Amino acid sequence: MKLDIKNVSKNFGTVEALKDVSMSFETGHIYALLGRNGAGKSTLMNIITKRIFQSSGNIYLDGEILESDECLSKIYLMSEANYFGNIRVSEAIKTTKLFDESFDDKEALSLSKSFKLEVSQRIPKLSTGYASIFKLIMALCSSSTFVLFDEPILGLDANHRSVFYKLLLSKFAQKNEEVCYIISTHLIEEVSGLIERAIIIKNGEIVVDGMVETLLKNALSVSGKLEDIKLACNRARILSIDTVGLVSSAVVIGEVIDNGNIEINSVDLQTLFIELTNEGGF
Amino acid sequence: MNYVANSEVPLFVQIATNIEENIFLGVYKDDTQIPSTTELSVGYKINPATVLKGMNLLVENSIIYKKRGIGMFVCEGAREIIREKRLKGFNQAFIVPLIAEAKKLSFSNQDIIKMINKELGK
Repeated sequence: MKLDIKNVSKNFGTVEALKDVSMSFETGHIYALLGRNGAGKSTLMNIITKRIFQSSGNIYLDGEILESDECLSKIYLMSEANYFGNIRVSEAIKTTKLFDESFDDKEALSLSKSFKLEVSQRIPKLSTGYASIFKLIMALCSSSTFVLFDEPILGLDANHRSVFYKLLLSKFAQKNEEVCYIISTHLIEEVSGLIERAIIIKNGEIVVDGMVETLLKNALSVSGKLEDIKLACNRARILSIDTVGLVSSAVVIGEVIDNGNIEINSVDLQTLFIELTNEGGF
Repeated sequence: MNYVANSEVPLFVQIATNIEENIFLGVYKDDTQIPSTTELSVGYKINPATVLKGMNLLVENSIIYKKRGIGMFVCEGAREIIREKRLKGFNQAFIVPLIAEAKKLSFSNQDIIKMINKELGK
């Protein structure tokens, strides 16, 4: 199944939150939607799930405009908002089962137990971490094909984050990869091995959409004397140059000619992200 | 085993190297099954497509083979293939950088040989 976002724009008054963005998501893959605060990630995820409406453009599910309940039931968004109101976790699980027959309520209860989430607790009373755990469990047990996670690990400690990543991958395998997970997070290094493709948004526009492996293969850190770096990188796109004393180091994308006077190293996804989304200043 | 996302070596190569190392050490013997893509993916928190790519690298090198519907198994003689590969890589991985560093420190050829002999004599 394929979800296509085509030329979507969104204005909030005079603010352009999304500017003509297009991208595709397919089942069988895990994606990351990355961007700085206010880049437009949540706006896009809310538009995909019709919680808000785009100013222009359209979203298609297997070529059909995303409108019917049937189509919308295939998409699930886990976000900061709690739409359950002041009810208990156990009641939320029961109620969800009424609306979504294929929702795995048994698994939701068993996961609650393994995360030590007290199901008799009222949802608004949960701590930030446990509120995230509750929403994650609901998302992972939903029967939707496209599951979007907006900041899924907010407030989770390192142990719970690790459990979540493992759980996500084991659900992905259990469902024979007939699902698509889209994760939006600021903890880029932690998810970089988990995801296959990354989409980076900056100020409402897409700056990168590609396979993580390819992105990292083409990105390099080059250090040495400034003139040597410039010579070696004249065919590459230089994202940034920092100079300390007589030595400079640059993050570049593209072909670097090793002239023997420079040191070339690989770059991780987080470094690449920072360089691609920097606004200047520091 | 820790997989480092920012290492010089791509993740799928790290996966292949790790399986290879375990075959070489005798953890996985000839004709025995190695962990499934899912087990490795969940266990190491790595995308299954990356794991599969690493496994395919080993299939290409006749180190593991696929039994349809069952899983991946260690090829007969895999250890020998890995040994051969490592022998070939030994010079590049250890001797070349050793000499390069020694030259930076202005050691003579005699100095280098003397140091190696001293270590060997321990």
